[in-house]
Amino acid sequence: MALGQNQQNNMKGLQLFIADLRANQKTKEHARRIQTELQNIRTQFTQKSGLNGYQRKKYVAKMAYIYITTNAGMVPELLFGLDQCFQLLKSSNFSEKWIGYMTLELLFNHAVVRNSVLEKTISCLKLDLSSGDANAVSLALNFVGIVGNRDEIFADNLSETIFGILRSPVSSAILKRKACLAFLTLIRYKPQILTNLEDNKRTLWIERITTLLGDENDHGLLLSLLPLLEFIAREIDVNPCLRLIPQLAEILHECLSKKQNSANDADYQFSGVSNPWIVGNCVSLLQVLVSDNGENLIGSNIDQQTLGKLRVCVSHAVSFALASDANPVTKNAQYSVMFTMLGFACKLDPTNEAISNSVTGLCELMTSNDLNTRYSTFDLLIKICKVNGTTAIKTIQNEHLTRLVDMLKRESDVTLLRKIIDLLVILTDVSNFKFVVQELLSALEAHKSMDFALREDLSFQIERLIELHADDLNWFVLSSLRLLSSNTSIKNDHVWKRICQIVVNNEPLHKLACEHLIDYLHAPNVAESLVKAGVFLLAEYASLVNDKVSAGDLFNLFTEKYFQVSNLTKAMILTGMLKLYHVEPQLSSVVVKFFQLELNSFDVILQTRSYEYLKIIQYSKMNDMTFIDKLLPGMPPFASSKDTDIMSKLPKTQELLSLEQPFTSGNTVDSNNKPASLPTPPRSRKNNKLYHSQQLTPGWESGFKRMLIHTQGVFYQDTLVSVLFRVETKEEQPSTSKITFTYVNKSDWEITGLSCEIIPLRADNNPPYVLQVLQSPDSKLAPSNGRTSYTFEITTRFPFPQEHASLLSSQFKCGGQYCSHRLKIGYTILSTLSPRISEIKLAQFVQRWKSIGDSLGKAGEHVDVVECQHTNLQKLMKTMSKVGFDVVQQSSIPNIAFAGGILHTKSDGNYGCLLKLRLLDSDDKVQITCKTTSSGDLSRFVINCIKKVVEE
Amino acid sequence: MSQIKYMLLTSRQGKTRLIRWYQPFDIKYKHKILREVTTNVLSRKSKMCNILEYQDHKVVYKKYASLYFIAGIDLDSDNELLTLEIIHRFVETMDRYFGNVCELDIIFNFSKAYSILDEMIMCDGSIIETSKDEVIHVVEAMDAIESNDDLDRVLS
Repeated sequence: MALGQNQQNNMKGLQLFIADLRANQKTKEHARRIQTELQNIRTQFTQKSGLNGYQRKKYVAKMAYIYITTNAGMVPELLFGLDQCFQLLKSSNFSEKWIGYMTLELLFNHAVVRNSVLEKTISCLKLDLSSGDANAVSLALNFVGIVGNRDEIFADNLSETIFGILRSPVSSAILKRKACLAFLTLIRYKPQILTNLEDNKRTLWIERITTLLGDENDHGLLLSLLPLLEFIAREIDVNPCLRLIPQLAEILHECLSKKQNSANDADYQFSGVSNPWIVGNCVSLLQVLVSDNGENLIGSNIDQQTLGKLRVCVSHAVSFALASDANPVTKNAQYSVMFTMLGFACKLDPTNEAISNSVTGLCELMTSNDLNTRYSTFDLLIKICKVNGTTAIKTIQNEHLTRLVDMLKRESDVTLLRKIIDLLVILTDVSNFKFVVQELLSALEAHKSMDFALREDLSFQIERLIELHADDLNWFVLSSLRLLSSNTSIKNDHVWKRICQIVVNNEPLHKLACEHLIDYLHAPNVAESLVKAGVFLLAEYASLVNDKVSAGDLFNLFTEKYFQVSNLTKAMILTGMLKLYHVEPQLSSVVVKFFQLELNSFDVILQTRSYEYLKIIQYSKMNDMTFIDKLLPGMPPFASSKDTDIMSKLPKTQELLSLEQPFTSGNTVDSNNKPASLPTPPRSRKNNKLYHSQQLTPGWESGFKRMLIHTQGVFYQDTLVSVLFRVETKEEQPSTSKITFTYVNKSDWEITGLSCEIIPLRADNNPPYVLQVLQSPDSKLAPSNGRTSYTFEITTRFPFPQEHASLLSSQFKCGGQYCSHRLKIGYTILSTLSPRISEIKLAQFVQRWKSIGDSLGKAGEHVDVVECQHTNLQKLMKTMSKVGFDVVQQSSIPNIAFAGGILHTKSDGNYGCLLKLRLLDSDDKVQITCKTTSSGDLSRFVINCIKKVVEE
Repeated sequence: MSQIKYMLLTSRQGKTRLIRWYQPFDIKYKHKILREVTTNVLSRKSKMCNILEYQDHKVVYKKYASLYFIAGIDLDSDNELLTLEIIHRFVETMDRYFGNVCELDIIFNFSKAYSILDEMIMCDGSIIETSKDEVIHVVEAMDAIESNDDLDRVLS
């Protein structure tokens, strides 16, 4: 038996009430039954003896049902029960609490309710969130997750508590998931709760959240965590999230490549494709992290492996969806995964070939039997065309334009039709606009069943295309008028107004437009917008078409139309007649007669207008014929500001055909032919503050020093983990080194969620060194001695002080404990030393020392003294040679060590460097003198490094 | 991010059976959505796609027996198919819980239907749990506590 069935009889009174209401379907009886019940509840609530929990629950549940069944129509009548609702919330009995929360969730949609009980609700929530009963916490979290975006009081009071649940290692999985989403609700409503935190605290909070990604096995947590991360990356700070890219790639890879990992996972699997929501959420986070053209994928922090993994994921998704012929539900899931991945693919590999391949593949799906798939295909194609521009557009144009047009003719579903039209509009350019406009016009004429909104959109789109591409006047006028004439049901005025504006502003069009208009107006049942345009333009330019039609004929035409149109158009016709009179004064008797007739009009506007025009004619006849000339001087060109209301309706349209520049020849303005809506430039993801805001882990110095001296060894260790380093300097190019950090798990627990990042001083604006990640570490380490490596290349471009060396930032979770380290990497200017094969002799050294001194003087020299106990010359010489210097083997001068070497940089070339280390016998000090062939700060940089090396 | 704005269950006669708003709309707009979206969806033929563009958002719907499940989602989010999956999951889960769910089950046990929905979706339509078993498990646990409570009441 299904679970729910034994629950049916839980609250008998409620069941009876519902059954009762259902029996009384007639509105009147229905309402009466509700009123009686409300009365009953009211008496029950005011009973002196009080109610027991069960009764209270039952009556509140009845109220909830009344709320639902009246479509939220009776909120004011229900307010009296709020107090009882809170009694339920405070109850220790779970089912009572549950009904209380549920009812309040429903009622919370209404401001009246919110305003009266906000404070109370918060205090109840606080109690429940901190209670030890997981079920109460869960109910409270649900409540916050659903209505927490109605008022900022939730965010102000509850975010700390909820974050506490989220990061606590003892919270159960389900609570963490809910806490994740409840927290997301709060920060989405009020991001300030994160942005207003102090820098350190915010960094910590975000780190805590990002490490949660380690629990990959818990799909549920992953599902709720990903949207939270996405919000943080999108709205708060993208930088701390960038390091997650390799991990996300791994998750995607796991999801998509494993066929069937285990039977108990069946709920997450759809014949080979894993949970489409995980893929969807993962990709949508990646979409935020990866900048628009994918540049930061190729850049510093992503290795080729990750990139490759992501590409494999795309091809997996596509092949799954296209290969199998599973049932429709599975198919739907597979397609959803495929579309998600394909949408992302264009960022991964924005080469022309890849784009045109995926577009061609997609076009095959345009004719899929499943209509939803078709919809998604169009949607994705439109997106690709917008983002990737010409390549995609050309590909579709070449092969599929006719097919699209064919579909346009046959499609009867408005949703799909709209998408097809959108796609066609994007595909239109100079080469095919005539064809497309023609087809769109036919569609407008043929699809009589199209809804108004779509017809309007379509006619505006056509108008825009006509305007944008028109290259000969005749075609422009013909198409525009055809558009107007097919617009029988359009209420919106902007298309005909727009055409009038353009005709007025472009003189060569005046006559042409009028001639065609006459033909159109002679037809029966003319669209009203065409009449409007016709009356306006013909009256204005009647003199131009005098040879074809006389003003008298026009007057007759206007009179004929007058009785077929609405009052607004009638008013326009009246004005038109006055203008005709102006062109041809002989018409005065008929015009006056007409106006006199309209004095009896029912419409006050028409009446007034006729009266005024009548007076104008009388006045000009009696007194001054030039009066009407002054009154009607001819239409001035429209200023471009006048069409702002048109522009505002389509915020994305590009600049329309310029109104200030009348076209003088048949050519329209070419500069307007740019593809629509250029992608926004990617936001800068480089944050230079990041470097300086890092707090180094205590004890970092020893690893830093070891790394200065040795090429491999221990970089860091504590009870959980040790990090080993290895530096390999490229022989052919000593300015570049390959550095490998190996993480070894020393604990008895698994390490999860390991993520590493190298933080350089700066990544743009002429950085002193640049990084390239070769291999990202695995995010998991097996207990006791599981290991993984993080490898990258670093290239020195010009000398930099050791204080500015890059940082290794890593974070992970181990046995429920969260750990993070910030360590300075001992890669300095000294790491570029290349020892020469031949030994250096003292005489050579002295000679070079002198020659540097001669050419640079004191500029290339720097002296400093450093304290170091228990040292001697032998030790000193050994250390220097380990660092990479050539040390002069001599015994003639007992207390000085001589060393030299070449420092390499990529941009500034190589420098010679000579060192004298003199043991001051007084009190264990060493005086270091350094000369370099650079007149800059290089000697100081070198000495500071040496100081780090020798000081104890 | 699957941004669900609302989830709506409507009968063939256009009567609302269940509704959950995930975004704060004002009352007028809510009524407008209820009225227009419902009419729009009900008037569509069965051989049309399950997606509708309505004002500033998309509407994804699916009909199961006599009930229409309607979800309003963001215009930019590219996962109509995924939203259909969510709806399907919701229906499947209720099916499992009630045993061949029908409209009456949802009417009489509206509170349970809300619970199941709440266990699956929170906060602008982000998914908490997609596994039917998990959701049922949670709701079942709730039922168990509830009947315990009831038992206590009877005994006391």
